[in-house]
Amino acid sequence: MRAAITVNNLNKKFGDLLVIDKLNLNIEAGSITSILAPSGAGKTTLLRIISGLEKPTSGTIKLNGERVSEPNPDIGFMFQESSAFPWLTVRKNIEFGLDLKTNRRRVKREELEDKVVQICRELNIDRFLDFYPSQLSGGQKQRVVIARSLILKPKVILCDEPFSALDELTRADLRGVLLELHRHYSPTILFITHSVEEAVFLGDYLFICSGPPLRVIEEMKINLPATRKPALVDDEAFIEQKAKAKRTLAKIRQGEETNNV
Amino acid sequence: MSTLFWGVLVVLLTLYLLIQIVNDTLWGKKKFFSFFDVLRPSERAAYITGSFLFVLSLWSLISSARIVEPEYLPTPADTVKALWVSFASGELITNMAISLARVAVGFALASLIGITSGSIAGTFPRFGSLILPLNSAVRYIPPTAFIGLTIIWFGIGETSKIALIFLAIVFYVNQMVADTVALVPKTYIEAAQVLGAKRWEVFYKVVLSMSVPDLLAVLRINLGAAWTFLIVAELVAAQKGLGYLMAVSQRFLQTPKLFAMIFVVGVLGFVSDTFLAFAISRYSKWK
Repeated sequence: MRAAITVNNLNKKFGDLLVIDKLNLNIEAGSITSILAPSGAGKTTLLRIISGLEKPTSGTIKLNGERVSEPNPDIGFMFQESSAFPWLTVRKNIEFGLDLKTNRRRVKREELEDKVVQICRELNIDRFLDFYPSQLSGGQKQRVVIARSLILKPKVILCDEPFSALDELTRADLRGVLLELHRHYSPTILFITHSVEEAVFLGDYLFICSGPPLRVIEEMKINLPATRKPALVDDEAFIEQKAKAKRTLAKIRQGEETNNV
Repeated sequence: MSTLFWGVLVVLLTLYLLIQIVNDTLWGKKKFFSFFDVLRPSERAAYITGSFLFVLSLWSLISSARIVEPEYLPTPADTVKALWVSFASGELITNMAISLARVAVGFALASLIGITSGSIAGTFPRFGSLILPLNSAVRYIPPTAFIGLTIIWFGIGETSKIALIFLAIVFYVNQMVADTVALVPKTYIEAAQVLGAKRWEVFYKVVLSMSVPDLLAVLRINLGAAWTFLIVAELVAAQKGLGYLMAVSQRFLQTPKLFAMIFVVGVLGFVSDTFLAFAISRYSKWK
């Protein structure tokens, strides 16, 4: 396995609260890895440290062997709430990253327009190029954020429950979109979620964690076909793996309750 | 005759408004008090015209019926006549140009410094801690308290008037801009950082860009104060300007001319305010 992200002996403390304790992880290049954990376990903190938005107390994060110490466009980030800039049109939102000094060489100016239109077509938002985010639905806004990140061709995309505020149908829709884009652009995706179904549906790997401090309790390799259609959720193999993940999660919750007593 | 005309107009306009309100509150037929309603342009224009017409009619009624003596309240016709005389002699234009220049320079300087300092202070809390408490301490000093000081420092020439306008608003702009930019959600700042934006780019392309409509709103409020302190400065010590014309008119009991000058200041303020209101709506399309 070639690791895209290597988390080495990572520690993070907020005051007296130990959120991450000696965590070691290897995320396979080009894979989708889901992280499933109860609320407040420290998974968002982990993602923020990997992206460079948060400094670890100790330990290192490496992207393809190079140490990550600050945010950089090779690591895209999808936040829980939409981060589409409300004062820019869809087109300007997507061009935002390319207009920055660091990214000028990523796409030639004369190709920019075509690239923006192309990626919007893939995400089915090409009708809204001159719309503002306030005129779009929650799902469409998240598509804009995906496009804005993908156009920079990041090596990694970190997803912090990006679909949690959306309705079930839109969520299912966006899962399909994410898988499709992954097939096309093949970035490494680290996907945090509360939803067992989402974690199993999207992941090549599934890390089930407890915390704080964040700890990997079980690492599962998801054995499902590479092409995943919505009907997969009724498949026996899917149901079985989902049940297994649920059992582990229940054990974690039980353990937490026992500890609390 | 004219008294009767204005009297009827005042009664009709008042009745129309009362009917609208009663209709709405008692019978719920009209939507006079419906929350944040979007008005048709024609309806909005009718209300604006109506309110101006009401004030004009009431003024005409009171002055032409001599409810108040003309030395205290001239008729609109006398006021317009005084305005015309002042305009025809060239006196109005010269003095208006001087006042406009004073407001423009004082307001522009205060806006430039207030927005620069306020936006940095609101974005970077360490800089904010250096600047804002100090700014608040000075902000609570009534600007008129600076009049004596500006005259001692800068004499009675242009500089002291500009300095008073500047001092009257710069501390308010600074604080209000700092409060405005501090409201930019952190998610947008971090989203820009992960896309590769450097510190300056985040400040310029996110913090300032998102705040444009609110910054214009801050300027709009403070422009009103700039006009106020221009007149204060010109009433106290000036040889030219609209405030100076007001002071002279008052000294010689030329009430119509005094009214005319007040009217001119009102119109200039209204025009500049409308311009900024237009700019705000132009930059708020995304909201």
